[in-house]
Formats: sequence, structure tokens, C-alpha cells
Amino acid sequence: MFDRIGDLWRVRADYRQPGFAAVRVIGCALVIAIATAADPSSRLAAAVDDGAFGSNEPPPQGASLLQFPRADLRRILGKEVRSASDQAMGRIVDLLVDESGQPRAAIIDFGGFLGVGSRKIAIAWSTLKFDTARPNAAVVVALDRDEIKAAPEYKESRDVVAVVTPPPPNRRESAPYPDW
Amino acid sequence: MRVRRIGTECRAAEATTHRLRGLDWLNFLVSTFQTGFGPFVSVYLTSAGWTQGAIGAALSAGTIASMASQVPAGVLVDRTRNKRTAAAVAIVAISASALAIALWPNFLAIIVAEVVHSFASAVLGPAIAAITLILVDPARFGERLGRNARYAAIGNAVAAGVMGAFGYYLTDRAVFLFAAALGIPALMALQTLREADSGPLRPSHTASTQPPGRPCNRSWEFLKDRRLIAFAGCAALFHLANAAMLPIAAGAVTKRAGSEAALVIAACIVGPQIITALLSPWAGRAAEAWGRRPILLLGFSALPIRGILLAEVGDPYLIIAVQLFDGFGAAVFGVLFPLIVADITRNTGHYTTSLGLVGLAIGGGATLSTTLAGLVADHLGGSAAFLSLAAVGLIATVLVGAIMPETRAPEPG
Repeated sequence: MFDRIGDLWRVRADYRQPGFAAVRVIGCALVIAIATAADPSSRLAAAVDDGAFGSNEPPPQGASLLQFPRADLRRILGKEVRSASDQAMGRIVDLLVDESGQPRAAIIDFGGFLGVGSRKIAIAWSTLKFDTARPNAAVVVALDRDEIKAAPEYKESRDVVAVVTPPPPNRRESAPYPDW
Repeated sequence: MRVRRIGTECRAAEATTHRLRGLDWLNFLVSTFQTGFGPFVSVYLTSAGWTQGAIGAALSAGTIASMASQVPAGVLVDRTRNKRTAAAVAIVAISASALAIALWPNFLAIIVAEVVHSFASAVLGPAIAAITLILVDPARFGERLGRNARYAAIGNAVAAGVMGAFGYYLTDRAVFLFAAALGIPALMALQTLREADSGPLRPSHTASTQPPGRPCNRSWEFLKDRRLIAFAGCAALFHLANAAMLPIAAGAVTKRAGSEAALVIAACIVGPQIITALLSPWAGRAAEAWGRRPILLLGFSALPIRGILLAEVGDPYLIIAVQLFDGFGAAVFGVLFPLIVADITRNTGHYTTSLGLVGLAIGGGATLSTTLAGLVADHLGGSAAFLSLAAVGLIATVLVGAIMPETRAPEPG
């Protein structure tokens, strides 16, 4: 955020003349307001990436820009999770990755009413199905509420992370959870 | 004899309270829009894609600001001649922060909104208590506080229902837009209470009676009043025992109930509010008729009972029933907190400052409660947490019996 604003200052060098001082302050305030009001994927970011603010040189050290259609990539934090039978399961609040950086589990804020009584539960990444056509649609999880409601709560301080994983297809009864 | 007298007082009070419909509405609307600022903020920020760390930081900023605001806001209201203006500014500030939360869910805006909301709330509560004190005869103050608490509880219950529906059918953002919009009818309700600025307060009132040039008695002697210290200690322990019970019970419901868990938790929140709405007027009248101490003891004793029952009960539907004790405690505490502080600070000009001091004690107790009970629940399980909270509630009850004197003014004649 702040280096973006720093870029703006450099680019808009003409504002640096003394007479423009006041305009500059107001202008920056406006830009900050707009930039912060919008989504993280804001117009400002787009403008900088397009080189609209003056830098047409290629980025140094061989890095290049890959461009994806909006529908190919999606944000994950705050994403709603629903069961296959369309029950609301909660929202994704964090991800757990293994040592190779592959996602292993999503932590969802499960249940509760108006934020009271919700529990943070880690569910296996492999149970999540993403809607390929609609990137904003909820993630569907191959578990239902009864299968995860009693799972141990995810805690940063614990040595063991319990991740809810669906049972093998041949036996579908849920295993008893330890009472942590 | 006694019972008949209470009955007559009731009927006489009907007439005097009738003109204070605006005060009913004010209490209802304020508690309705304040409900949105609770744990729901974290749901909203989660859906806006915030990390848990950032949400924790924003909520902590709100908690710290709230604690730091209690006493300064109380002093401010004491020194403000026109309490209605103070309340109006606070309502506008709270509406503005609700609007900011709805429109700009970015870190800076949310932190500012949380801090502004905390300070404005610390002004608004005491300001409404002070306005009530100015508007009603001292003999009817307890009864009127009962009515205030009744409408506040109805507001909480309605807000929980409306917010649940908004969150389900509309967006989480709509909850905050709704809260912001409620500021307008709240200001209109406040507008009807014009008599509250009618100038010098009656000598029998607890607020300042000094001439306009010196708005307030600057002596801090009142801090040495042992009754105030005793009450602040009891209030802190009450909330130390009380605050964590609902969240832990609701977590247990989520763990045990299936798809109906959300409805059961909703009932755990709304049920006690209905009990509070039903019992508050009784608590106010009984405190005037029998004295503060017996009612306070009765209200506090609901805490250990509730803690023990929650430790024993596993069935989600029984948890709803046990939660009804919360309504009993809340009715008693909601009425007696402003009433006892008014008794203690009579004629000192320090009413809202003292409300702020006790508010600080309450905030400390409530904050510690969720932290400590959370630790106990993590290491020893939910039942142990409820039993610890019950033990604290028992200590609080014993403390009320041991150190809290009767504060009701002796009857003339």
C-alpha cells in the first residue's frame, strides 16, 4: 500500500512545484481514500501494473508479468464454504501448507450465530471443490455439518493439528473424536 | 400493607412515566444499533477477507479504547451541562462508525471506527442514565431504570433477530447500514426529551447543582467512598463470572447440535433478553420497596447456579433453559448498576464519573473472563471452565453479602 503511494509521488513529479503543494496534499488524500475504499485488487494496482504511470521499461532481473483471466484465480480468505447438500459450513479464515508449500488444510470458522459460538476447525484441502465456472461462488466441501461439528478446535499453540478428512468410501460412519 | 403501597405507587407511576415514551424508544433504539458492534464485527471482517490477526488487532483496539474511555467519558458527561447534547453527539458518532465499517472495511477505517465507537458508547450509556435521573422524581428512579432496561433488552432481542435475517438473506454489510440508519430515529426520540435540559437540576438529584460558571465540583473525595469501591469490586467479579459463560456454552452447542445449532444459539441469546424485559421493571420496583441489597444478592446468586448447571448439562435444549438465568442476572444488574451508583453519588456531581469507574471495573472483569475461562476450557475442558466461573460467581455473591451495604436513602419521616 505505502510503496504504491510512494510510486505515485515520484510519477506525479509535476505536482512537486511549490504552488501545487496544497493540491498535492488533497490529491494524495483522495487517492488514498479511493485506493483504500476499493478492493485490494483495486484500479490503482491495475494502473501501476499496466505501466500507465510512466514506467515502460521491463522490470529488472528478468522477472516478468504473467497475466491470468479474472476467472482463473480466486481469493481464498473469507470464502464461504457450503456442504454438498448446500448447508452453510462457515468461511475460510486461514490455510495450512506443508513443507513443500502445498495446501493441506483450510481452517474454517464453523457454526455459531452472529459470531457467538463459532469454532475454528481444520478440514482437509482435498475435500474442497472449487466452482470452475463461477470464481465468486462458495467452495463446496465433501463433508457435512455432523461430520465436522465435534472435531477439535484448531489452536496455534497445539503440537498436533487435527485435520478433518472424509472416511474412505466403504465406511461412512464418523470416527469418534478425542475430547480436547 | 407494604404490598398495597407498592401497588399504589405503580399506578401513580403510570401517569408520570407515560410522557417518557421517548425515553423508552431511545433505550430500545440504542441497544438495537449497539448489538451490531459485538462479536458480529469479526464475522463481517472475516467475510471481507481479513486475516485473523488483523481482526484480533482491530477488536483489541476497540476493547482497549473502551476501557480507556470509561472514566474520561464519565467526567465529560458530568461536566457537560446539557446531557442531551452529549447523547446526541455520541449517537451521531456511533452511526458514523457503523457507516464507516459498512463502507470501508480497510484496516485504518475499522480501527478508527472501533475507537470512535468505544468512546461514544462510553459517553452514551452514562448520558442516558443522567438524562433519566434529570427527568424522573428520585423516588421513581429505580422504577424508571427498570423500564429503561426492559426496552434495552427488547432492543437486543429484536436486533439479534433482524441481524440474523439480514446476514442470512442480505449481506453482512446490511447489518451495519441498518445500525447507522437507526441513529436517525434515536435522535428523534432524544429530541422529545426536551425537559432534560431545563437547566439547574433539582437539589435532590445526584448531579451537579453548581452555578453555570463552575460546571463541576472538582474534588475527587468521592473516590474514597467505600461503597463505591465495594460495588466496583462486586461488579468486576460479576462480569468476570458472567462474560465467558455465553460464548463457551454456545461453543458447546456448536459442538453437539447439528444443523439446528445456529437456532439454538440464537435462542440462548434471545431467551435471556426476554426474561430481562419481563423482570427488569420488577427489579426496579423491588429495589425501591425492599432495598438494593436483597435484590442484588438474588441477582448475583443466579451466577453460581447457572455455572454449575452449564457444567452439568449437555443437551443443547437444556442449555437454552439454563441460559434463562442469564436474563435474571442481567435484569438485576442492568437496573441496580445505575441505581446504586446514583445512591452513592447523591449530591456529589460525580454521577457519570462514578458510572465510568464502575464501567472500567466491569470492562476489566469481562475481558479477563473470556481470556481466563478460554484458557481453562482449553486445558481442562468446558465443564472445568463453567465450574471456575461458578466459583467466581459464588465469591461475588458472598462479597455482596459481606461488604456491600444498603445504599437506598432512608425514607423521610
